[in-house]
Amino acid sequence: MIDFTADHLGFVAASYGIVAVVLVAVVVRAVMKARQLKRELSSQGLSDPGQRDDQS
Amino acid sequence: MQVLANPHRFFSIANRVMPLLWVLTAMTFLVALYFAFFNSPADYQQGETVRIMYVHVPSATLALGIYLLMALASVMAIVFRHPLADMAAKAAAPLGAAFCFLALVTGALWGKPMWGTWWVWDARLTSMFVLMLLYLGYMAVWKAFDDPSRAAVLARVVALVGVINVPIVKFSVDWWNTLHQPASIIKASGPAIHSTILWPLGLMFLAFALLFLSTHLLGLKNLVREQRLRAARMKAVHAK
Repeated sequence: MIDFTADHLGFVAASYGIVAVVLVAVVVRAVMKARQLKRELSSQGLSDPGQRDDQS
Repeated sequence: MQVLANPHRFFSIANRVMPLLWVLTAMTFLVALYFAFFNSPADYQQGETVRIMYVHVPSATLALGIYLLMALASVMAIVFRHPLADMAAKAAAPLGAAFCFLALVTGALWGKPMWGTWWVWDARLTSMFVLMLLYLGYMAVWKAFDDPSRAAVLARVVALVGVINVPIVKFSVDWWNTLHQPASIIKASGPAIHSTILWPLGLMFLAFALLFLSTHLLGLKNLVREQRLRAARMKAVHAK
């Protein structure tokens, strides 16, 4: 179990904080891009690739 | 691999696998974080800073592994002309860069309390920094050309030339006298880390790898969508 009174705990917190921020940003960026591309596809009257297979 | 050459079939498979992957990723992260904070001891020398290793080592390992994957995908693009191979490498690059960045930053955050410095230009740290530059260079190549087929050719060259750096990063601690400690997990005599620390590390690596897999699939799907949009725009231009 982590000792919250130990030395250098700020370095541990900063490491996990930066990792969390970067990984969440990477996932959010990909999800937002997917939404934007889906919108662009539908605005041009195109279906999302794979949709045809899913419906069959 | 040829089964996935058809983008429709790839999407169909990815759509079925991805929800499961996201759930598995989230669950593995929860278990790994529990082990990392509440079910593993402090190191007798490093104290609580040993917990930085649980995010530093998976980041560094994935940064190296993803570059290898990009090189392999580039070979597949050249040899088999697999339509998704270049896209697989392109989608992997920003993720590899993110993991490489995290390895460098968490390494610096560990180095300051343990070594007394944020950074030294030793062989391991320098070669890891070179890996970061290779990722950025690879991504810049894709941005530099309007024609994706021309960008793909140069991107393959960068991936294949840059892969020389991967064994240099891995073995730098054996070939040169570095401040960075030598290999303690993947070595001939077996891991030099106690199982109470090795287990959380393994779980965290699994969580990072699953996150990469999920995000990579999502990125790959986005690139297929972009290609479809580009093709539609080209068709519209030629029809005029």
